Amino acid sequence: MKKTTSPLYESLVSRRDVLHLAGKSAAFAGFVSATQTLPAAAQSAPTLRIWMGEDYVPAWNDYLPVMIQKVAAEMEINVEVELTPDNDVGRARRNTALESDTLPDIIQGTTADSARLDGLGKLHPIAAEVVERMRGTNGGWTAGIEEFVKGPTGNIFGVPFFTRPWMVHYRTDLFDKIGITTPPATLEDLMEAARAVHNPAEGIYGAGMPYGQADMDGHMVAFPWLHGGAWQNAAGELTVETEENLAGLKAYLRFFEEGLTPQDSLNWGGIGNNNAYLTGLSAIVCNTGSLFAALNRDRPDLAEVTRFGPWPSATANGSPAATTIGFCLNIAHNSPNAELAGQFIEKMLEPENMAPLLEAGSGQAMPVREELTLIDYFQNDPIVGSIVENIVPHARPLTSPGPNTPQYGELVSNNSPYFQDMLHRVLVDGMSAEESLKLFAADGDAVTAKYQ
Amino acid sequence: MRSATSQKSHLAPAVSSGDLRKIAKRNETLTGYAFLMPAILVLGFILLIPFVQACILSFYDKPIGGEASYVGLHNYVATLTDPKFATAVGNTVVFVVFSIAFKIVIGMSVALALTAEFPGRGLARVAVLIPWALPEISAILSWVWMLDGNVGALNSILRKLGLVTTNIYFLSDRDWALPTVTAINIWRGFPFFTLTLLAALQTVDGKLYEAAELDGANAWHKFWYITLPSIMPVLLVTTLLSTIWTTNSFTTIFVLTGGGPSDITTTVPIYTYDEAFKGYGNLGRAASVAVITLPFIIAMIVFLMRVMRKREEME
Repeated sequence: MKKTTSPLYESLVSRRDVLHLAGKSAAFAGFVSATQTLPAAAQSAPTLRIWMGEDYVPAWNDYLPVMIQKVAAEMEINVEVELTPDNDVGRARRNTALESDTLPDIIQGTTADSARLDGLGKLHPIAAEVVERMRGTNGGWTAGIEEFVKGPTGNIFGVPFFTRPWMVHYRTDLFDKIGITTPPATLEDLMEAARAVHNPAEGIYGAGMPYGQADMDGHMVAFPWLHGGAWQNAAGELTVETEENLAGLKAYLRFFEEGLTPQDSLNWGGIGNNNAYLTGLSAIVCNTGSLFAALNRDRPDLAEVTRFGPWPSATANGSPAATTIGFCLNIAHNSPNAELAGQFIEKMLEPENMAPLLEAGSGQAMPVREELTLIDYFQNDPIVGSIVENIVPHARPLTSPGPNTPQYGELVSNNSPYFQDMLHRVLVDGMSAEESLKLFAADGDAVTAKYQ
Repeated sequence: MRSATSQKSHLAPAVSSGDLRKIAKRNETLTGYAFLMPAILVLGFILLIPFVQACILSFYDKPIGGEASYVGLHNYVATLTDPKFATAVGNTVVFVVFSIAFKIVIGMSVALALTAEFPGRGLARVAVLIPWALPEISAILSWVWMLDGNVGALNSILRKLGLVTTNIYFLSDRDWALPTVTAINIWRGFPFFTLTLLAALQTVDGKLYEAAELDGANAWHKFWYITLPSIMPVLLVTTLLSTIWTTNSFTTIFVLTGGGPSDITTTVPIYTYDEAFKGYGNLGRAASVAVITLPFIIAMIVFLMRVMRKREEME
């Protein structure tokens, strides 16, 4: 298959020029409107366009733009900051900017999505210099965090911002009643606990495992790990069809085959398992801090009886694991203010700015700077402290043991449909796990071909 | 005299009345085109150029944000040999046929009922339009909650009425999912039939019914031989419009099931969306799906236009 871009395509099909013009016009219009009320000195200062992610926690969304404006004031520059939601609307917006090559100077993304931008050549290499400079300040980066932002050649494509580990949530009140007082040591113990509290007639399901499109990365990346497998190797090559991965897939399928999870979980969106836990429908779910934040806000009674843990190992001598999403700050490849953007990110990540933000995040965001791990919130808050103590040591980047590659990101990242397809083939269409895994491997090959 | 004639001929060139008519006709034509030009330009920009772009795009592999690579007919071959596309076409046919059939029957029945005189008829006429008038996303999201297999109101009601003993997973059971999304589409779409048919029923001459009654016609005869022929042009136009809309219906299925479970509720628009945005997307492949399905949509539109023209001729 010849891969060329013909002049015909460029002249007739590519909407980049039009979109580029539209994007620039919109940016210019925004700049004009933003500078109309600024004093003369500020009008001459450069302006950074910044897109940050809208989060589950309102306090985070309230504080983040304020913090960015504060940093901008200190650096005597202008910023246009926007929060973009992690849904179809936000994705459409980011895709449009990507297609028109009008990404903002700084854009927040998951490391998987950022790897895709890197693979498309849309990120500025200056991020690596920023990361290097920051190694020597504020205690440096937390251990292993740089692995989250490494591309296939070992290049660093973004600046780590925060991480969000997946945590298994247990209803201790239900387990206490049946005499299960210690966290499951193995996956089989966890299954046993789920079976013990499972009582659909009373509206209680032992577990709440998704098999829709959302949240699959937190589950389906972990289960091969627990069985000694992984979806890619250290070199970044996909390794789908292995005995270990098949064992992981089969272990996950048991939640459904035994009816331990509600059947409707195949339609769950991003808040499906949150709702299952918050309504008392499911006694065990695995979720990021979004559920923890919702518990604190809406169900403090349930928060009190919730215990967190990593996924327990499949074997007694194996390692537990907590799949962890990395978020990073990227600089657009064509940013006219790349150096300034790098300095801005450095300033943003200083403890005085990040500490209040992490606290506003209500435990859904873990620090990436050593000094931030020492703040009161992570040291003294009993629940957040327990997350730091029990989960963070087992946190592994979604890409583990390999680097971020566009193909891996496309295959396994959040909202990727391929895991859903693999599970539906077994649970809805009646295909064997082996056959479905084989088709998942074929999906992986097709995705890999896109980036070669 | 001769010189005078010659002078006259010089002053007024010989233009025949036929030429004048031609000039007038040409001016009229040019004026017509001038008036049409804004519409032609707008349609060109919003229809023709995107259509041509889509056709060309369908020959390229084009991930979002990535470079386009010419792949010839690969996208067409891949689409036409994809079992999921065949499933999507089959689902679309089932979805459209059942949706339209029930919309006609229910829409017609309700329209007939609402032509009768009864207290509160005005209120009923407004109420029946609610499903159609509600914002689509809000209405469908309400159904998502009501149809939830564990905590949905519908299961709760069915259990309380003793109609079911175990919950029905309307949106996640392979046997229930497609009938459920079809039912919701019918619920949303039948008021359009009711509205248009109700308007058409007002135009049927009451004297025809009186004459038929004198001839001993019963209710069925009156419906079959008077009502139906009288409203047939409207019914045909409404049916065709609704068929086109239903074939292209996206929001209802996307919000209810996203095309799942598995591909059980995946219709062609959902399949096209998946191809465009699945993972990191392939716009070229999605364009090929759109181009493949275009002739069917055009055929329906042509048929619709012919029906409308016939209707004009009848009037």
